[in-house]
Amino acid sequence: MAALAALRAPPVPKIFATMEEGPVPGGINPGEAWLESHGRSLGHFVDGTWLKPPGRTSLECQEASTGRTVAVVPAGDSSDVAVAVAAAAAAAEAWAGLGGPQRGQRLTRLAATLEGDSRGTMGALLALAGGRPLCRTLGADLDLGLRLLQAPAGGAQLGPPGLEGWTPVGVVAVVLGGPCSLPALLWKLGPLLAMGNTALVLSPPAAALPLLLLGELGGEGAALPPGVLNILAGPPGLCQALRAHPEVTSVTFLGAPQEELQAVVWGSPCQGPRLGGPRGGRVVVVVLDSADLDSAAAAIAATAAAPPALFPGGGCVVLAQDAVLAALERRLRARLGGLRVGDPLDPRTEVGPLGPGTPPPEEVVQEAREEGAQVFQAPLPPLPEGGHRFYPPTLISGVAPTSRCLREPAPGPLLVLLPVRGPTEAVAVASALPQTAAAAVWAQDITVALDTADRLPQGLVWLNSLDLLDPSGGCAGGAADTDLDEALREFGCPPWEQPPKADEPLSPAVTVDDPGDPELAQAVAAARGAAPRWGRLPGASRARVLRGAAAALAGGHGTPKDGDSGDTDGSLQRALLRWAARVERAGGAVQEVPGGRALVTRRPLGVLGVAWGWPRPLALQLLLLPALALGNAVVVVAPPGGGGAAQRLRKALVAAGLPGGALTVISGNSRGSGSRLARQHPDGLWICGGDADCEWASAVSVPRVWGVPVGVLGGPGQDHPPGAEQELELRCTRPHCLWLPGGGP
Amino acid sequence: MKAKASMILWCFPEGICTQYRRAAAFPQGSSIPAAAGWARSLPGSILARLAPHVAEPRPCRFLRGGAGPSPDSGAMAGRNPGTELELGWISKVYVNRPAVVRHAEQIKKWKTVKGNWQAAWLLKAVTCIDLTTLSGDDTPSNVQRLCFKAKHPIREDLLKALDMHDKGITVGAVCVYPARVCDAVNTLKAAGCNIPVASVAAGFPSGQTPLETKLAEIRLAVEYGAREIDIVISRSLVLTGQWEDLYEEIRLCRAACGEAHMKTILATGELGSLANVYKASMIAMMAGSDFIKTSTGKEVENATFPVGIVMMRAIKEYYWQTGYKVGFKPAGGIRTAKEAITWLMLVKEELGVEWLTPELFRLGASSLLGDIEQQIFYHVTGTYALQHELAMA
Repeated sequence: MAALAALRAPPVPKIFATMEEGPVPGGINPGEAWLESHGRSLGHFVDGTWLKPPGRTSLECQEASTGRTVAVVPAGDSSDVAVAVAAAAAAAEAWAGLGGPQRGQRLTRLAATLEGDSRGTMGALLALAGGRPLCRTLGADLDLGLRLLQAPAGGAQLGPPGLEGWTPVGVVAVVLGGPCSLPALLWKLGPLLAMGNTALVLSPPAAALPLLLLGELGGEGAALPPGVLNILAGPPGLCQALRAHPEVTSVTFLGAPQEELQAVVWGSPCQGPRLGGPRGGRVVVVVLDSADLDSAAAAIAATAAAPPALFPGGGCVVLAQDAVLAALERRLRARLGGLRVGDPLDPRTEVGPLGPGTPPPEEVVQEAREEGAQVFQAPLPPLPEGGHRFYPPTLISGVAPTSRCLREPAPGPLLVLLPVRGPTEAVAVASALPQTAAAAVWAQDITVALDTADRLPQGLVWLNSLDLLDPSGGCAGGAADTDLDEALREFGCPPWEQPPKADEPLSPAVTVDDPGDPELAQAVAAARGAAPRWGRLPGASRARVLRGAAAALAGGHGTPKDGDSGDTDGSLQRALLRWAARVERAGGAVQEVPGGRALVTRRPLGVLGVAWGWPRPLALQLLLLPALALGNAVVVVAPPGGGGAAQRLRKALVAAGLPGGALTVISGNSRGSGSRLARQHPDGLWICGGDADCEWASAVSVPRVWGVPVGVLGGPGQDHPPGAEQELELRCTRPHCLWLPGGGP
Repeated sequence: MKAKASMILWCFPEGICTQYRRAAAFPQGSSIPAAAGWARSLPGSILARLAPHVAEPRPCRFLRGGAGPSPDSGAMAGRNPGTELELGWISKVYVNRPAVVRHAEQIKKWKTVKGNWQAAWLLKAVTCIDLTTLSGDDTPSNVQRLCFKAKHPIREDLLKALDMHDKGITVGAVCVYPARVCDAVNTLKAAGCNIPVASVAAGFPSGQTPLETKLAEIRLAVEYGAREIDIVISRSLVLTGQWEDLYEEIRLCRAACGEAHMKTILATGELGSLANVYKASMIAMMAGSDFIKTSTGKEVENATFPVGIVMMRAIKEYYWQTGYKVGFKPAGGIRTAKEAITWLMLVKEELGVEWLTPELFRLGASSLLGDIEQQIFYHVTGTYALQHELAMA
């Protein structure tokens, strides 16, 4: 192959005149070599070995840039799923019993394998199948992927704090919609395996190759015992077989077209497995008048060319302050024009083909043109056959927020440039954009930069940089995204979790009218108004309100009226003082990460809906307290018994200074109130009792849904069990990370 | 202030004025304003210091920057005549160091060329080299050797193997101290080759000499036959923010250079910050530099990629503002073929392929050529050369 390239090379004088760069042959592509070593016909990787069921039709795996078939995999069916689940279930006990330190070592060994000789193979396969340029898959992606594997491995080694007594959930199914980056995959697999679960990854043929390699590497050097990581290739419909399988305890999603997959699984009420959310979205870049425009333009163009590994396919929106709009646009055009589009396996390529199954964003661009937008498209160089899979780097400017290119994320190397008048307007526009995963602020003026970054709603904000990611600094940007701590918890069973029971009847059994939608809408609107005022208060100020309420309760002399045993007010006071102390002490961390420092903090969710269906009123008070203490505004739907207790808490808190809208108690039945709350689009939804199945199904649009385990609140008259306060704290907040690049050697 | 910022160039008897009037970019009749008012406008100190040198000052007024060839017209720009001092161009300069450093690392890591392309790129680098010797112990003999190496940078049989023997592959220039200019010029003339001799001047390397001696040094070097002058700027003017004075100083140097092309050494390792590098680059270009150059090679920190990126971004901005292409010369510490390729790649990335000619890009180096020749030897023969197989410089 190299010899062939040399034959085709133009003579030196010609190159001397044009100064073109030519291909980088680099010998035989290690990805192709690996495929060749398997005869280009792979199987499923199950139970530590290749599973090639006889007589099965085969599916073709194609190269992203040309559509050439590079290998075949068997079309998996439900019998394969059964075999794989059985293997995973059989391995589960031994893997869980291995203990954290041992598991940590095994995962570290896997990372070492990946970092060593297999590095090139993995990078090449990811570029081959997914179309992401080699300079990413072999560079930043792989580095981040390794960190994402090592961080949970280290966690398992030490025993992550606050996870004492947690147990694995069992067999976790990871369902891929399409090709995904290595970090996105390891972001799930790392915590999953570290917690002691075994995994079953279901992949369409387009994404299967790198996964099968990962499975094989897991077996190499005895990194992972057989059956811990199983890879199945098959058509997307295969995940239906998972739904009914009793041994699959959790399902989580990855890769580009997730909606259809979720519909397949969520289509009917979910029978037990816990469902993990998707990730993705676009990046908003705010460029203010004190920005280093050249560096900003270079970074933005690089992000448009290949989006950050964990937020694929969302595109990039640039909000430029009027004063620098023209200068930035000129630089962006020059940079986009200079991007090298071509074969993703060339290390110099910056823009690869569109991912398999991703339609070209032609319609969106055409619509923008018709709306009068200026569309700049870099010319495409001559491309190999199958070049229709490439899309030129594109800059759309002069559109309004009503335009389709802003309303929905468009995949591909697409930039949308919007003018803003200043930092305040930039924050407003960035907050109103749908489906944003992360934001960046470019400004050298430190005061303006920090102030703007602080007010942006995205959970991940880069200062004067783009595309820095690290598990300890935060990889979470979107409202539903989690940090490493939460990722570990996603795949573990807390000691207080109890198997779901049939609904306990409320005592006394009364039927009340369900709250109407207008009533709920009004309450949520009030909460929206109160949330920023309350949530942005410093912890000390919120603690003062809680202490005030505690003092007021001590002065009053209410006697417990309802069925709760023990002294209600005493427990409530204790809880108020405890949370006041916790909130006061709450802070963040400064993480030293590659490229600089990250300020890692937690922010309140915003508006939290609570659907209450349990009989213990004190428990409701104990549940509401952390939510309020950590800065959320809460709307509770509870039957009269619980409602009364919540009202009492509200009275005490409002008297002490809580904004009125921050806690609204609405009387209603437990059954179905979660669904009604979900329709109001709160930022989080807690379901306590009630008919959980249909609540889950309707809560898809809410970023953070939690089925509150009754044990987290402790028994009657008791405080929270150990570790539960931390769990509540995490559930009440979402991660926020501000990257401050600089420093270093 | 305003008068100082006016766009004025001293014309010495050697007269670059006439020359410029011939250039298409410089329309007839726009020069020679009233001299009297202009002379008063110069800062007293500078005027006093200049008095002995300015025999017959003939001021000539250049066009405003905006009237140069438009960047879009594609017109051949010719020499950069400079512009009025536009302090607005440097009043809002922000450079984010970590971002620039990361950008440089990415290019260094991923952008390479291989095979025939590598050979061609290395030969391009050869044609852009300012082959330099700047030592206290330079004598006619080693300067002479350098000149022959400049004429035959790559062994003839290697060039023949690459079919490049008839392309006139020589280095871009020979760069020496003023006292060695005559040696170099004579040697090159005797060898019958047209490689320009570049001379460092203006108090190289520290720039800590009076303006009068700087100008005298430049004029002498030109008189000796140097066709390119590498001047150094007064770092103190940058560090104390005296941009007007810096502009005037470089303006005067440019006038003293006459027909010789002027490369302005910013000594970036001593400017304190990347923002200062950007500002100094802008001032140097406004004052009419044909090239801006990173370092003398005598500072602790020499040509680094982040510094180069910042200077090239300034060049691009100046091009966008005026339509004039100013050259770029990294110098100091460039020793390997790989580094040379990275510099070419950076130039292509930041400025475009049209900057990859000796007219707009130079590499200041002494030992680099040896490594490039070695790499080309390997490309042609498949093995590395023994020491005696390649001629020394």
